[in-house]
Amino acid sequence: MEEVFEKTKSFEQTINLRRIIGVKVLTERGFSIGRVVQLRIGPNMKNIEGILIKRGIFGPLVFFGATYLDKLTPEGIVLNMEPAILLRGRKVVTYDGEVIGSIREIVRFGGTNDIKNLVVHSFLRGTFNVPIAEIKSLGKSIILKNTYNAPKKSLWRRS
Amino acid sequence: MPLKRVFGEGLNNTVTSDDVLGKEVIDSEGEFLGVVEMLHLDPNLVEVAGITIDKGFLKSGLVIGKDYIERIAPHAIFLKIRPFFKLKGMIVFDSVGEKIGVVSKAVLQENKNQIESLLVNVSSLGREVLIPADLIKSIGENVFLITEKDNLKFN
Repeated sequence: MEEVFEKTKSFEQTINLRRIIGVKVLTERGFSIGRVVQLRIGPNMKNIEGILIKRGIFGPLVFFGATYLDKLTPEGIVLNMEPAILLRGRKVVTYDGEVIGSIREIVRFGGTNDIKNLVVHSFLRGTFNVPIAEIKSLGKSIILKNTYNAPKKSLWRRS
Repeated sequence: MPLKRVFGEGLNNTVTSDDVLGKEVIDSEGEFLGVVEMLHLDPNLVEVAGITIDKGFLKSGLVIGKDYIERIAPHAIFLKIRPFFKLKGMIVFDSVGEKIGVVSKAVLQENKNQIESLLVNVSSLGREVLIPADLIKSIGENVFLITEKDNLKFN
């Protein structure tokens, strides 16, 4: 096969995009988030702008921009972050160790992965916002700083 | 009836064993590990040496030394570490995200929470590979290596 290229990668250094479709996508911490269904390129047709993945058979489609991709190979795609959308449903724990609810929604800055605040829900405390500045750590559960005052438990003041 | 108190100093900011037993234990990743079942005391120093965590029905307990305890909060005990018994069952991926296998055993340095190596089950036929700690890039939900699958030596 003959090659014609200038200031770009050679044929051997490139990937056949067909082999990327269906590949498993992993987050930075190794969580398998779904499989690639589409690769999206920009109108100038020079760069990959992102990937569209499907989370499970009945799961939603999620688009990840190219800046969030760490590795893209036919063996797997690795993101360079933990998608904030994965936090949904996780427990929220105060600095004192009390579980005050679980995450119902993640409010982000535009379409980025940067969290603005978390919408937390609990049966007795209702639905309330937790700003990102009040979060100590994000993991299997969300630990809050000692400066955060959780809403009081109430049976009659739920929102 | 009020308690009679006889103590030297520093007893005002302490908690009792009743406050600790039965409390939830949360690791550094925010995962709930279980509840405190026992308190271990050093008989010579007369101080707490560690705790035993009850991980649940039919699960073996876990002893955590006091050096790994971050703080005792009113509702839970926070650890500084993520205990490496959690590694068992994790999937091991190489540097490009290709699956290598599942962790069947984590070999620790003495009784510390530091990994020496991971024994990874590569296939259902019993093929295994021993991965030294220096090949591990990160441990989170699963394990990432710094090398590719082709560079590993399988048994």
